Amino acid sequence: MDLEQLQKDFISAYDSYADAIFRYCFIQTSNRDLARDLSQDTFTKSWEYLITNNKPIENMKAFLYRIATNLIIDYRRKRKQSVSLDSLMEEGYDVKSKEDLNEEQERKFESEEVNKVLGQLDEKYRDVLHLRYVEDMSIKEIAEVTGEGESNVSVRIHRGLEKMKKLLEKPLTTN
Amino acid sequence: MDPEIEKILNKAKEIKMTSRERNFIRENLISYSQNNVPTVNFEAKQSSPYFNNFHFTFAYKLAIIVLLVATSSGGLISAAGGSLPGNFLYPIKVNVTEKIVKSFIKGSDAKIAFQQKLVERRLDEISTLIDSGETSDTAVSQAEAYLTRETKAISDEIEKLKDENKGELALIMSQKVADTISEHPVLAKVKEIENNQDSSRLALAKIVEKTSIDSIEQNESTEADFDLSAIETEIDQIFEDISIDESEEESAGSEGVLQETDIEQETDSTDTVDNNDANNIPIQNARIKEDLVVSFTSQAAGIDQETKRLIDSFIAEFESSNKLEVKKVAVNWGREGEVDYCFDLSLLYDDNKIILINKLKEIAKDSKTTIITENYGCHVAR
Repeated sequence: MDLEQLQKDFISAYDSYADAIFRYCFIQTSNRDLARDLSQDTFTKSWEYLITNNKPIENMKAFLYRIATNLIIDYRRKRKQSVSLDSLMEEGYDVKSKEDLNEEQERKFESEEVNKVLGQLDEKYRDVLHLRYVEDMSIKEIAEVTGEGESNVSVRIHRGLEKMKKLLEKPLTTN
Repeated sequence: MDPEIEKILNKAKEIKMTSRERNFIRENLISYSQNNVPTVNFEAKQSSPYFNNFHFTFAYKLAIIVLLVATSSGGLISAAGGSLPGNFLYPIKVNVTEKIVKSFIKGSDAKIAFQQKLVERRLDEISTLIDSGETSDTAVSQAEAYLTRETKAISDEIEKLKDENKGELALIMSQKVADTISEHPVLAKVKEIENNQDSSRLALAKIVEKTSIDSIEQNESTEADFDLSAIETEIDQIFEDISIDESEEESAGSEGVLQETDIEQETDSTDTVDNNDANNIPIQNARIKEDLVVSFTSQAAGIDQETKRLIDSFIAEFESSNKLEVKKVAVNWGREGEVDYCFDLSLLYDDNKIILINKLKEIAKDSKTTIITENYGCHVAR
């Protein structure tokens, strides 16, 4: 494939899936800055794959989610060993304009309630519920992304919904 | 669905990046994709996000040097190199020479690649035995014992990979090993022997057949629900890098000085920190995880210059007293002089690493704006 075309397709994929990948990373980590980093890493890794293999990816969406899933797993594994990037960011990395801060505040408000509920769910239920009902993926696609069997995914969705219902029945704790 | 749950999930759909965040990353990715292009063709080797090839190639070549010393000073070891099962020198070859090489190889992935080469070598030996008609009990039992040992070592390393949550890598490695065994020419000979009911060589044929079946079972037992192709090319490269041909061992024995030169060249060519070769991933964009990052941040008053001076001074002294170079690159990322020192400590011995890291932490412990992290990425450069 022509390199220029490859770059165009790559950026086009970013435009199409950037928010979805960010949302996925954010709900899994409850950390906006980290989610932004993981999103960028997801796309840089996909670029590395593209230039190494020089062939189109059949299901870009599932491919990106798989990379993001692996990065999130890496993060969860290493978070106890590393200083949070969050603290680095707070030290002066982000110099934001007033407009940026306003927009971010709005986004934060939108996501708080979601995090309060989803954040209390076990990771394995949160993953599948997010992919099923937020990203509208099929069971088959979720199985492909998570590496679980389709029946296992269905069971987790069912149990995840039950657990979520129970969480909503009692007063929410703060994250 | 419960309306409350539906409401929460619908709200989740509204989570997005801010336009600033989206554009910022977009610009980074455009720059990244422009800076990281294949130089000649798409098969050009890329810097690896999964493996540090330097560790492996350096270790391997170092092992060759050790072999050089061993082979040039010990005729026995040298003579053992070409021995076959049943030969009295064969145990020296498999228990001394090969073990020396193996001891210098670090990392499960490289070890599997090396073990796979040993399995190939064992199969080559069996092939030679079959051709020569040498089917003594000792030859058959040694062939079986050492082939079993090498394949078991692969299984153990694959299990280690799974324990390290590297399921994808484990799967590819086991596939690769199964493919290598199933494609080995000795299998064709085995079929021929079985068809002809050649009893004198049937024992060797059965050993090969059992290994082949075991390798396939090992592969099938590894879960296959990953996207694998992204790292396949790199694994191919690792397998290509590993070579334990006897000719190479002999060559190492006679051209030791050249091998040492190769190591230096290898060091230069794999040092991605300081050069801007388009084939390398720029650190500022790739967020490669560094061994150690000293981040001089600012809280509206500039960075902690005194701590920076102490750190600079300590590093210079450390390099001078230990007669070594601490590889690092400085990444400027803020508007108030913020800078990250991104360290590559792969060339340091463990004791030096510990001294360096502990001392740097000690220097920075009272600084509110100097942050030291291990195994994390540097900031994005301005």
